[in-house]
Amino acid sequence: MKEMIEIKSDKDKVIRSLQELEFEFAQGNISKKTYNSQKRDLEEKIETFEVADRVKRLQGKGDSEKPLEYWTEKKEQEKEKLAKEELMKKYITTSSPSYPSNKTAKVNVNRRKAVLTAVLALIFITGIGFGVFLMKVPESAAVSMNINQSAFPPIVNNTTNVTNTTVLTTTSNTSSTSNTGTDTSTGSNTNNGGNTGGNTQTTNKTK
Amino acid sequence: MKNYLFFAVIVILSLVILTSGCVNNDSFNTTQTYSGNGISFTYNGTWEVANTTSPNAVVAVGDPKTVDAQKNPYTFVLIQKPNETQNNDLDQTYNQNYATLFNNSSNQHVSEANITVNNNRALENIYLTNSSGMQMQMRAVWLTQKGVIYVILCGTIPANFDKEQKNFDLVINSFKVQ
Repeated sequence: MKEMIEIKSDKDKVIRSLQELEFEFAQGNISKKTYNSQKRDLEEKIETFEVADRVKRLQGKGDSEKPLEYWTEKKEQEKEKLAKEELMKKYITTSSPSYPSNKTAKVNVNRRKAVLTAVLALIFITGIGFGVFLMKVPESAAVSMNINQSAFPPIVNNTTNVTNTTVLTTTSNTSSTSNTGTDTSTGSNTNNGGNTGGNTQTTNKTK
Repeated sequence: MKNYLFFAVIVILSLVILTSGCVNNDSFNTTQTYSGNGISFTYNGTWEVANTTSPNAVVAVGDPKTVDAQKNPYTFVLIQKPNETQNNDLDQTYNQNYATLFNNSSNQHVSEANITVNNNRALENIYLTNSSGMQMQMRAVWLTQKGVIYVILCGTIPANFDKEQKNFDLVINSFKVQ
């Protein structure tokens, strides 16, 4: 089969050469003598190929009931198929997904944007919540503070306060006086007299 | 490529939003300036001017976040002037003051040093004292400006003393007699 295919392809080459020769002669690029000579050679070759083709068929090669052109076309189709597969492998990687339809792609993009927007909103709300929770609102009214410390030692006051109170009481028959004195600096001294009188005079002296 | 760019923008925005929620108010470095009674200084923006009954007090500022039930802040800066009847010699006034102060056992001397404030000589005394049942650590800076002695008394609880130094330094270094 392979030999037959090769014969067919060689025959096609010779036929093409003959066609080219006729074209060249029609153009006037070659002389008539040269044209006749080459044409004779090519026709002999074609006849040889046809004889060989007939011989092969007569030898019975199984599927030779089908014409040779069938097998040639099938071979060419297989070649084209292989070439296409190689192109597919070369330019289309296996990792790329199968091409979704336009509608599906748009849905995926929209879904992704919605998820990102939701995440952003969640982060925003969390941040605001943190800020409100940690924020300390300043007191509206100023706090009135009192400071009573001092860099200086306290001054000690050694003055003495003395208060004397004299009460005079006289009666018709008897006269009496009573003295009351109080010393506030170191303590209190009270002097009460035991006499009583009708008249009372009170004097206060303070040192 | 467009998807990567969109995703990168989302990540950056997320970082910005999350970071903004975690900012602490203490990180704000705001300050205020006091000007009055012949002096001026800068102090922490969250502090406030306080009332004071201290003798010869010029002005006092305190941290309102540290007030107790009696409205006494335990972190404060008080500016005083020594008694006018005393002489204007800084060293003599300083020594006399602390000779008396440390006679009281409730005051415990920690350290003292000669320092420089705005290219002017100053005296610093750090001590512990008991104030209204609370132990306080004081940093007193004595300096003379325009012939007048001023005492900048900075106080807080011992646990916060180191942390508050930046607030104390802010007042001390910006103190000026107008």
